[in-house]
Amino acid sequence: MGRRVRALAAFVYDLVIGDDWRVALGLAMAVAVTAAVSRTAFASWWLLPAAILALLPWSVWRTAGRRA
Amino acid sequence: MSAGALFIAVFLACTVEAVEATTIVLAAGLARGWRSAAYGAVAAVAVLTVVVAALGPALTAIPTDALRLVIGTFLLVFGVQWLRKAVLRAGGVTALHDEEAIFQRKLATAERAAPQRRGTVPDWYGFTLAFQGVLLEGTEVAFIVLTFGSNQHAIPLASAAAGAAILLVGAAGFAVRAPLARVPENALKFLVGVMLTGFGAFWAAEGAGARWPGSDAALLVLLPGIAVLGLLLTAGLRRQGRARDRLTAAASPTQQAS
Repeated sequence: MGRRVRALAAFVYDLVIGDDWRVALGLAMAVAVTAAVSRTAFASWWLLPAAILALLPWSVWRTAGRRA
Repeated sequence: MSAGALFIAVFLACTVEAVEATTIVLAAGLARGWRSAAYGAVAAVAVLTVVVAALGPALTAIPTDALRLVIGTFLLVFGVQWLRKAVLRAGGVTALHDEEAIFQRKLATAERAAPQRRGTVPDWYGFTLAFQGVLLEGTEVAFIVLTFGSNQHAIPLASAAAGAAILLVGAAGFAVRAPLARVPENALKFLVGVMLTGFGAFWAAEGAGARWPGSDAALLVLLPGIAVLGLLLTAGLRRQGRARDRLTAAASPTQQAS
């Protein structure tokens, strides 16, 4: 039973988080910051595109550098 | 998001997963017999249908902003992961998904297993191979149908798009009795990654309380922008790979001489 729960947890982790948990964490933090900034008078729509622009290249180059 | 855009996004995403599932079902069918493979595939589709039917109405009952925040965040994380994989494959950093090689591996393993009848299933190995393959690949299909469908309150339309993709790919695979290696799987994965990332970011930001300039029209900038980012990264990786190859080629005569 425990083995099956662990296997299911590993499957869900792989499905949603994938190979780079730092990207998932960074994006989740960006959503949290967007929610916080949305409560102020400042525009917050640009935060998630900026997070994608920063995190995707960072993760891709990091992986490419490790495998070179 | 229009109904057409929803249909296309879900259809393309499900096509990628259906190609991978079809490869496994074909290996099970050719090695172990079509009846057991068909039972396994149909049983897995039935399980996934029950999951979508059970979770769909529950998800659509959640308030829109909360739903967009949670589902959008999941889609965003999921989409960036797809896009990242597609970029790394297209850039030559990781190997492309080779359906033919996967098919041959599955076929060889399936041919070695001993036959075992259970109830009305003539071959249990063939059944479980097809069942697991369809269930695992189909979980991503169910996830996409539920996230896109619930956000737009259009789960039936998202299910129809997934069903159309599964039927089309399944029929093509059954007709040629070979893995669908010619389907440009990575290009599709790239396109779907762009869509999942774009819609995920759009919905997550809206759910978090942000207001996009131009409302839905912002997607017309966001989606091409993410696609350009992915293409630039792919081009950069390819250029880096070519430079490394030139360095290796230049170094090898020196190594041979010494």
